[in-house]
Amino acid sequence: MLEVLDIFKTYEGKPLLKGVSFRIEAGETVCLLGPSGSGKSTLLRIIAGLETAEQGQVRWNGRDLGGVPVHLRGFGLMFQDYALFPHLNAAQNVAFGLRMQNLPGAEIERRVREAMEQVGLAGFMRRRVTDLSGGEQQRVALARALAPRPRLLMLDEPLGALDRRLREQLLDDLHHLLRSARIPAVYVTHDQEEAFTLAHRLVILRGGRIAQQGSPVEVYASPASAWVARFLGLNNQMAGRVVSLAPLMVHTAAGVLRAQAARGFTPRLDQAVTLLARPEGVRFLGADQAGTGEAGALLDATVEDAPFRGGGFRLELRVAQHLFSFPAERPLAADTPLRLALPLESLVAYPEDRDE
Amino acid sequence: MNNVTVRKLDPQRRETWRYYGRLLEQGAQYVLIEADFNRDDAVYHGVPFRRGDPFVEIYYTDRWYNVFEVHDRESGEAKCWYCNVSMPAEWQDGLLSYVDLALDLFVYPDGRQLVLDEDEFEALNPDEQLRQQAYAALEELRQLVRPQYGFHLA
Repeated sequence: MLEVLDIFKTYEGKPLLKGVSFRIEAGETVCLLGPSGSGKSTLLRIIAGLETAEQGQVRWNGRDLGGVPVHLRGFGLMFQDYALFPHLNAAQNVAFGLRMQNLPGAEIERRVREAMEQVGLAGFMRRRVTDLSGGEQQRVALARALAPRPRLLMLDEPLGALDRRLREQLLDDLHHLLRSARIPAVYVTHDQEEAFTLAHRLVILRGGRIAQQGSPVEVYASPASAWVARFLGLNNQMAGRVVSLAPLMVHTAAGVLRAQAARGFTPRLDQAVTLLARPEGVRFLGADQAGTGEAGALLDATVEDAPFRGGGFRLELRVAQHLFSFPAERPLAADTPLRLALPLESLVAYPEDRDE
Repeated sequence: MNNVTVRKLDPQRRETWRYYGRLLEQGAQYVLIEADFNRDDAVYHGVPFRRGDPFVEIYYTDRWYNVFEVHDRESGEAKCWYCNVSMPAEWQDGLLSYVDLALDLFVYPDGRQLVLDEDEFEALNPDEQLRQQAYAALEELRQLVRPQYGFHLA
């Protein structure tokens, strides 16, 4: 369906997109995920036709869309500042784009009703948009994007401005809507939780390049770099140096630890690495308790804090000079010494990778 | 006169080798002895060992390794260092015992280092704690035994 091929773009002389390529297949939701400045919104605007790339192509079913203006691309757009018309009611707002297409009145009415039902606002047709809540306005904006039956839906941080509770609710709604409508969609966000919920596939951008793409499950289980891991919230990381290859042993401030090389990474002796301590399978032992004999790593730690996180606690631990956190069923008092036992596959070595 | 008995033990504390040496020096946490190579001439990792080569050996009661400096019986020069990762040595009444953990570091006079017998160490089925201790000791040795920067036992 949609193919994005080797897109380059500079902004005020600085490279913003440095050769980005990906595809969207029928019915697929792809999330462009990245921190601010990674180029994700610019990429979306290029796909929409709002900006032009300096190099590369956007194709639909093999046809180059270069020169095709925004309104003829057949893409539905929904941005954070969704700009409803305050003088029109909800149905009139949704109908606005359809009138532009010169559709007959009965057809417009049918499509407006259909779109309002899709977003769960069937009874709100005649309401003034200024009387609607933020979440309801958001849905009207979504209905407006859906009503022309776009062949691709494009959403740019549509939930960015909403409070947490409303965001979670709309996220669920959006998830069901995208799955049931089966419209291919590109969804731009900096929020990994949103991306995990919505995406069939993630395209993670860093500094104008794709850092990794894959399903949320694949990417979370096997981040391509220490940076991607941090970006996905896997923040238990520390610097180290490889001191042995077979078994892989890494010298860190917390001792010399057994680790597993990240997929595709072949460590060299004395190489600087970043070690990621994943939360899967972690056990909390008494301070001097020995391990169980299975391969893995033992790290001495001290409890800093254990805030309640509904359904459990988050143990915040001092490990050498690093602050790690792990989910835990029970809290522990601050300053309690303990020992972390990590299974072999939960201590992962990556090439050293620091935030620039 | 040989006045020290050295016993090398396996992790089950069975004696695997015994030899005799002369006490050179002892401190609160270490024992320095000299012993003569008492086997037939052989070449280890490219370095010729000859019967009667003097070994200067340091054992620690609080560290997880010991270091043998191998001197040539003719010239007296140090020709290599053989370092054993082991449990801390026990020292009492002229009897020195250590539990060997298979892992070794071999160091040439130019500073090149060889790690030996990692597979033998794994065959001991070490638990996490023992493996971390052993590799921390190995790493300490790699930092310590750097003859190119002037390291010498004697």
